[in-house]
Amino acid sequence: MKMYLKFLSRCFRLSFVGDARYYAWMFGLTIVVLVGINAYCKQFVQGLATTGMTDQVSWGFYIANFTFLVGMAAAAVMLVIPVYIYRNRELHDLVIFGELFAIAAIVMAMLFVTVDLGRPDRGMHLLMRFNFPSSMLTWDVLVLNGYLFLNLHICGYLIYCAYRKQRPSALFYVPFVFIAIAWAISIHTVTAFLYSGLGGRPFWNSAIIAPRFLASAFAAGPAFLILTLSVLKACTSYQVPEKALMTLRSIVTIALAISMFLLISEAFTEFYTQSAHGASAHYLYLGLHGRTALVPWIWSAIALNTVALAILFTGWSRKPVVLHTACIMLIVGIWIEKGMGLIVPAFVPTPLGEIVEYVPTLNELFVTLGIWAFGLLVYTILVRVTVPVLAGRLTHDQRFRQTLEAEYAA
Amino acid sequence: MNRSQFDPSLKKSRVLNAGTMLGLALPLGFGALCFAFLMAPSRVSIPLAARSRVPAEAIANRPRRVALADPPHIAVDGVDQNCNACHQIFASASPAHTALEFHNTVVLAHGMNDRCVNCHDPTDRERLVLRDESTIPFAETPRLCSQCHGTVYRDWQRGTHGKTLGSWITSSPQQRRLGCNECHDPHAPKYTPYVPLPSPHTLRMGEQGGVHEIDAAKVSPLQRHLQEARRLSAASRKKAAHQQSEGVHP
Amino acid sequence: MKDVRIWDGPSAATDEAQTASNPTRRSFLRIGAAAVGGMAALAAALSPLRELDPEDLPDVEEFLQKHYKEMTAVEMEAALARIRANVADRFGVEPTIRDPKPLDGVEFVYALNLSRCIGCRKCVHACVAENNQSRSPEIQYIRVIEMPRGTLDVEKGDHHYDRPQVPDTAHFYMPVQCHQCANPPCVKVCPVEATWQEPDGITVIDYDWCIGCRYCEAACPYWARRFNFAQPSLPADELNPDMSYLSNRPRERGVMEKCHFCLHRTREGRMPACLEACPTGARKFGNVLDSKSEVSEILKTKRVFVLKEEVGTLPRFFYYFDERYPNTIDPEALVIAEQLREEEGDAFGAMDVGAAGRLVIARASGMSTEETCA
Repeated sequence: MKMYLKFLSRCFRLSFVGDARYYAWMFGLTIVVLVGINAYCKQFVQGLATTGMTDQVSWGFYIANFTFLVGMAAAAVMLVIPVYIYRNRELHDLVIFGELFAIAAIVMAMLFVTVDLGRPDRGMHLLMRFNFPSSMLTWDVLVLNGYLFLNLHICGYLIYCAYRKQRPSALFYVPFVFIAIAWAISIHTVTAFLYSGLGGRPFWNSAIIAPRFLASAFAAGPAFLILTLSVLKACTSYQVPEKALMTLRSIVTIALAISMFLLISEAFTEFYTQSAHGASAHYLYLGLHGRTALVPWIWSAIALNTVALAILFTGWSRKPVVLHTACIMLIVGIWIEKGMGLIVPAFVPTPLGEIVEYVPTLNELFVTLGIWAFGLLVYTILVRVTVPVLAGRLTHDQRFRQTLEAEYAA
Repeated sequence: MNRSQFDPSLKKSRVLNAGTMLGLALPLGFGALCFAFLMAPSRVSIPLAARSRVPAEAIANRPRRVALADPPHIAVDGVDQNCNACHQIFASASPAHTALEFHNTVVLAHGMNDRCVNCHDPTDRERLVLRDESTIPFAETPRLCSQCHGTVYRDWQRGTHGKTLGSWITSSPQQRRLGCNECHDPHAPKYTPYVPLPSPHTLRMGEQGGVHEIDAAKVSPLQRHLQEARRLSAASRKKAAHQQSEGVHP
Repeated sequence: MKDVRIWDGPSAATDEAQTASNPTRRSFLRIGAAAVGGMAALAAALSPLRELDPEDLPDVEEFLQKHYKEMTAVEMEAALARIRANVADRFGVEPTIRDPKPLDGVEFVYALNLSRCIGCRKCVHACVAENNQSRSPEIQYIRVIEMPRGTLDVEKGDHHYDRPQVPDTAHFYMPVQCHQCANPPCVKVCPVEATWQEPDGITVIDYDWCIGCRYCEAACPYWARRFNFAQPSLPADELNPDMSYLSNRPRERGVMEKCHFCLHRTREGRMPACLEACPTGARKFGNVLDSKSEVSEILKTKRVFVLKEEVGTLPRFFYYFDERYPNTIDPEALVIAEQLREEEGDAFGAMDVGAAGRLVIARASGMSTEETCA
């Protein structure tokens, strides 16, 4: 126990060590987090009226980001499946970075739900009268916390074993890895059911929502990991095998292709049928009665995703710069498609046919950026600590001074 | 960093110098942020629409109009009188005489039912007359109306037409179903138009300009029919007005 | 710049001989300065909290208050006393607050006659006056939609009509409020059971339990729920002091609210405020378990329908149109009446209204004059 606490304290101290770029990055993130905290304090005092949300569009940016991040968290499993099911050795050591990202993403997702609550001070009511299994939101609370603990356990155990220079016992983590695979699918499925179970919102009330969520998440998540690993490769001594990046690239390509296919299927159903239920889709893609706030968003998303997919299909995307560009494009594209493109249009028009558009306010953007910065801060620290541990520079039998020395050398 | 190039004493401790700069930069950066937070307004402005006020009178809970009670009395030339106070003394004008000498504030717009004595008893003006020439007090007005408006009367008896106040409990003594003339003016039973109370002005609702346009190509056959009927009736009204002004008789 | 560090660490220690000052102290200073700066920035970031009105914060009693269904009678009395004191404190009015329970053998149903509604919005504003909604930002439970004839698709309607006069003949008017569904999606989705259906059919909200996630608002197919995005503002002179725990007591920022069929009135036998304000009698309210009630009669004799039946919510709010009552007289019937008058003479001006009336109805149903007179 004492040793574990020492491990944690060493990790904490290590997170303050780095080069100038590291400091600039961390300092920048801290500033954004503080701006977010400041904005949230204003929201806490004045209520959610500080956001662009209304009774007509009662969920906005926060829930959009929540949805996107649940998907990113679930996507970590796309690294795990090739390793543990298909015995892909290249990705083996990279799994842990995926799972660390899942932790950061879940933390962000939970923060997004918390800032979206009107009465966060009553959070303990969830423990006192938990409407399970009736409410899909309670399912989401369970699966998200479960997934967080699964990943904390798997990562924590593997990293601590490396610290202790022990061989991890398969019994203590392999079963959990397999549970996590199923669990990852479940978090995004449950989040999709949160929306698709509402009969009063025809835009969401579609069986294709869950598969669409998974497909888009399995494109955006690994794309984000490609970017992370490239940063890691550039900034640290950590070796990222080229083959691993290419495996991720093919995962992204296939997932994005499926995601686009599902999007087309959805759009076809809405537009060819021309039923009254297509009003939200009409609003999203073409605008409704002269209101067109979401039209530029969704078409940029479609353009970004199409171009990214085209690039990924060609051999050109083997070049790192091209691959990174495609990844950034598709992450942004999917973020729009699942955020502004999936949450907001379901509220326009309202079930009574009123059209009120939604535009996030500056304060709302600050809170959102603050949470993203906090999540990246968490992820950076986790990665910062994990790299030397896995490289054997931080172990229980070394003095911390030695570690620091090694760090500066690295 | 550049300072070390000019200051030889600092040259050897380049690392420390950079560290010092970092040691300065972080607190300074945080300090600037502090300043920004404290200077910025601590509240976000929320676009609240001017609230719409409604006079209590407009939503008061009372019958639409006050019906005549028994014995009926009415103000004539500013003096409150029972009906028979005049009608027992003065003879009424001949029934063929259509213009009213007294009660000329009464506007009669009851369709084809346009003779006073269709409803008012010619002999006892404080009673109403039925088609079998029996008379009833004013309190029993619905019986009079029922002679023509049978279906409405049936609905009113069941409670599916008209307004019930006091209580929803059928056995409650407070429950009171308003009579015909507590909503409808018997002389002009058709409801006059109302000025609607203010439309909604919810938070961040934005401009809400009138009716949604309905795409002409997607109008249902029913809508087309209604539109055509409206166009025709407007045209015929215009034609009638034109003929009247020209003095042409069909 | 690669080796910049705030923590001088070992390499600084090896430099010790070459530097005059103590590096440990210096690094301590740096860390200290950065930490102090960070803490100060955090404190400054939290500074908007000073605007928090202590009255808005839940007191200990409210914080520890149990869920409505778990409160004993004594605890409910304590909660009511707390609310009474709060209202007296905030509005300077002593309210009569109570917690009326559902009546046995009663299931409330609402029926609305679309042939009669004229779109005057009196119900909307009477509801606001009765139920202590926030005046700014504006919260209203009833929406009146101006619908073009020939459709029930609300999307073709207009919520914001602002005519000098209503009704407009090309439209009909459809007020929508909480439908008190027998299968309410809002209740199903609430993660904390802050909203539930009472035995008399009214779906209620415990405003002291709601966490403000707005999932119910997303789930409602009738857009019947409202959220307090800001602290509700309600002038003291407009407060309705006749209130109950589950209905119209003043709400806080961050919780949901909605129509509750005026349960503080209706559970005591009175009529809902919207019904009382209606000038046309289009609104009908009562106990559907009582076969003599007006709503039972309507369900028996009128062709009623519910809004969005396809979503399976089983509303307790029914709409109906009257059978054809000619509200404008067929011009042809007037001609017949005139003919009758000429034929029969006009001795006393007492034309046989009954006969003409029968003719009007006959004409309306497509019968010929001969058939009617025969």
